Amino acid sequence: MTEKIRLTTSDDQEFIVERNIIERSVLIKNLLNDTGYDEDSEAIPLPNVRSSVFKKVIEWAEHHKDTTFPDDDDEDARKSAPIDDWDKDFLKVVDQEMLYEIILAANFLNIRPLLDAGCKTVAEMIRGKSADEIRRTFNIVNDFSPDEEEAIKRENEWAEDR
Amino acid sequence: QERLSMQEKRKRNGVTNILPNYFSTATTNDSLGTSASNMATAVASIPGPSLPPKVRSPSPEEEETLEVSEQQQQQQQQQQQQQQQKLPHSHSIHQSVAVPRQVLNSLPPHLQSQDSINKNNHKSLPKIHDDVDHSIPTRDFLRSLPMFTLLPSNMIHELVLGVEPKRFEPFEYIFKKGDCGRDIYFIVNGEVEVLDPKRISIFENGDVHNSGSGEKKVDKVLARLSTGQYFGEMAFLNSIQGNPNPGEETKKPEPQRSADIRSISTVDLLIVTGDQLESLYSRYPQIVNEMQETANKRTDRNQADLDHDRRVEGSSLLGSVHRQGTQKPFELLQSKSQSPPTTELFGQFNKWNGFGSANDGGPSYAKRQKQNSECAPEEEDSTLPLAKLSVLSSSNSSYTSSEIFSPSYSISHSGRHHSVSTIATTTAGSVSDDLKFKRRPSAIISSSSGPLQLTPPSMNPSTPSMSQFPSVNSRPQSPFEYMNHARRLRLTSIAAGRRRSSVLSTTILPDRLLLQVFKHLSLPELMKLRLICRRWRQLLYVAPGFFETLDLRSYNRTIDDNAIRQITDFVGSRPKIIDISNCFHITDLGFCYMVNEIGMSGSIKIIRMTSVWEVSAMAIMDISVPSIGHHIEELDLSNCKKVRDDVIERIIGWRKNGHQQQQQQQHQHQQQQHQYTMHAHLDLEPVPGMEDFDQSRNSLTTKPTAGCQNIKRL
Repeated sequence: MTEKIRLTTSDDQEFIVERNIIERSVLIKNLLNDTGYDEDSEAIPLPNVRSSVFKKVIEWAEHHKDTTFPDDDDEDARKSAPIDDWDKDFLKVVDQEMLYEIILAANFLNIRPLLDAGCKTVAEMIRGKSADEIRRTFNIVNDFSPDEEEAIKRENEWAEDR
Repeated sequence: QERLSMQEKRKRNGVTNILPNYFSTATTNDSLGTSASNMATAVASIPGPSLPPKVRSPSPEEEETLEVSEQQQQQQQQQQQQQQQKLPHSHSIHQSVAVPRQVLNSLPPHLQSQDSINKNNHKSLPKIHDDVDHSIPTRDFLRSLPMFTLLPSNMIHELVLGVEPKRFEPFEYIFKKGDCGRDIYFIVNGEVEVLDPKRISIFENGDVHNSGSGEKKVDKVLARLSTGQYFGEMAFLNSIQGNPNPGEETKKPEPQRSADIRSISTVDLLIVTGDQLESLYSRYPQIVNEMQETANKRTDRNQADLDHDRRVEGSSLLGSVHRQGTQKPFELLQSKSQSPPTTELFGQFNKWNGFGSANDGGPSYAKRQKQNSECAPEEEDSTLPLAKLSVLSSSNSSYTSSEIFSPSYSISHSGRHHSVSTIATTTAGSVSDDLKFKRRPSAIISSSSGPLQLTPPSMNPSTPSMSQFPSVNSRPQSPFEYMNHARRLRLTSIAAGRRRSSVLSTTILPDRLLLQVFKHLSLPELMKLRLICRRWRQLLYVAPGFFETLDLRSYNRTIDDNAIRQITDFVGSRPKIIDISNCFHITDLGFCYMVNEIGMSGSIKIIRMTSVWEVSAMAIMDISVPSIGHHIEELDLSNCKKVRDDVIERIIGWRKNGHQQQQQQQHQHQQQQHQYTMHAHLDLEPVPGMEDFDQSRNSLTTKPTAGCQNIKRL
């Protein structure tokens, strides 16, 4: 018997979510606690989140409604924990654009575990790739001159061997 | 296997290449050197009773005897001389050399007995028990000295045989100003300081030998020398140059030392006697040529210094001692930091230091000058310091005219004025000015070889740590460019133009989230990401909160000095917790670079460096520099074999008076901690006795000094 919360995304879609699920978002949770929320209140606007992305976020939150994540403050634990298998698949099926938007939304809504999962996924995309591959992946233009590049490579001597 | 291959080499080289080959390639030299010193090893390490059983088979023994005998045929005289020299030496080669690496094996009793046997059996070589591990450092050390790198194998062999190791405890005088002798001291381990014992008193111009007696005494630290550097050869150079014909050597008086040498930490020295070196020199003048070539370069710098002095003098003719003193350090720092980073120049710096530290006014030299120069007596005196340098610089020219002095004369003349006026302010005896000047030529030459220390009374234990700072900054042997993080950032941002705003950037994620991503990447990965684009590079350099814990344990096998430099450059001053445990490739170079680079602008709170055993005491002392040590809260030195009690004393022992009371309690805590770790991990560490340690530390706490004030755990 949980409260239902209404939220509207940037494209004016209204979502109705159970309170305990949406409270994964620290932002919303604080908002609800601070302002008090009842049936008559207006829907909470989420100007930064598109509905398609928010759907994903809700999907994630529902799956994880019973999961206990490591403490937010425990940086090391969060860092070392491998990406949850379900999260991995969940983030794998989305395209890169969506992945970034999920990360942005997670950041905005302050959903640490989702944000971490997203960042780890991106980090995974970076890891073990050559500079060119990374540039291609992230659509980055190489703005170093060949000389500069050479100099940087020299700085990286040790790192390159790793 | 290594030994086998060495034996092979020796078979090849030892028999065929007895004669030195000056022009052989570096590699040949290498193998020659290896074989010869390997042989020397065997010769020099005849077993003591408790040494491990022999490793070497009889065949090399034959080689050695063969080679030795051949050498003796060719160089009988020298060999005999050496043996004579050997007899009075009561120390074993291993005692000094092996200590850092072979702590357990190099207990003095063994070595003494070993050495005595060695002395007796040098020629007969009844049985050779090889103990390569002990002696390799000796050989390597000698060969690593720039002075000897070009020497052929059998010369190094001779050196190794004739060298006398000696150990000095901290704050022990190795020799004092005015002492006779021309032996050269090579620092194997530890650090010494060159002191100019300036006695501000009327007696100063009197007999130098009396100068220690009771006057007001102000010791000046002219330079500090550490591993790989040497001192005392100025006297030697003077002695041989005073006597171009070796035949005369018996008549000449022993040259005098012109500065005090005092040990800072426990110092292991190798002493090459002047006689031995001279015998080497008589056959292989190239040794000295090398010294002299180096001296040429040093002369230029010294002259620059003197030039500067003259300018200073122009502004204030009555420049006081203090002015002179304060002026110098800057120049010295500059000239030091300018010295290029190649190993060759490193060596030259050594020599330079050596010259400065141990130059010798040498009566013999003055005598020579009188014979050969046309100058009036007063001028002679004034030219002395520079003339000496000029002599060195004109390496092979004979001293038939005073012309060689002329270029530098004007400078030295004004320099003399300066000094004279300086002295005149302190003492009234004008007649003795010249004399006095002659007595302390080191004031000009030596002082230019190292930062002068104005403040410290000589026994103040804070001296090393205080002076550590400049010497570190200018650490000339560092092959690393020294650029602080802020400057590097500025440079990169200049290179990158104006920083792009996140909005305009081509990537989708804003900086903050990109950093979130980066947090999940490892250090080397991040370092590589600098290559992606300017924005990422910038981001990685400035990213706040990154690398606060610099944990390099996982890369311990691959991190050497170069790597630590690159890492340090990358992380800048961000780390607060540094864990380089088990990074056993890191040596002083890397460690000092890291500690100073990160420590100066940042705040290191914890350093864990278990088993970083190449880092020596003096490097670790860098930590106790106030700006760094202030932040240190925890230091784990477990299993750092070069760290001894005195180091720990200095690190923890120096505190401000105000902190004493509360810290006394911490001391108890530390004590337990320390003992615990010591006993738990430091089986190999040379810990003479914990009681001594505790006592001395408690006594040290009463002195107001600098150190790691906030250290809580050790």
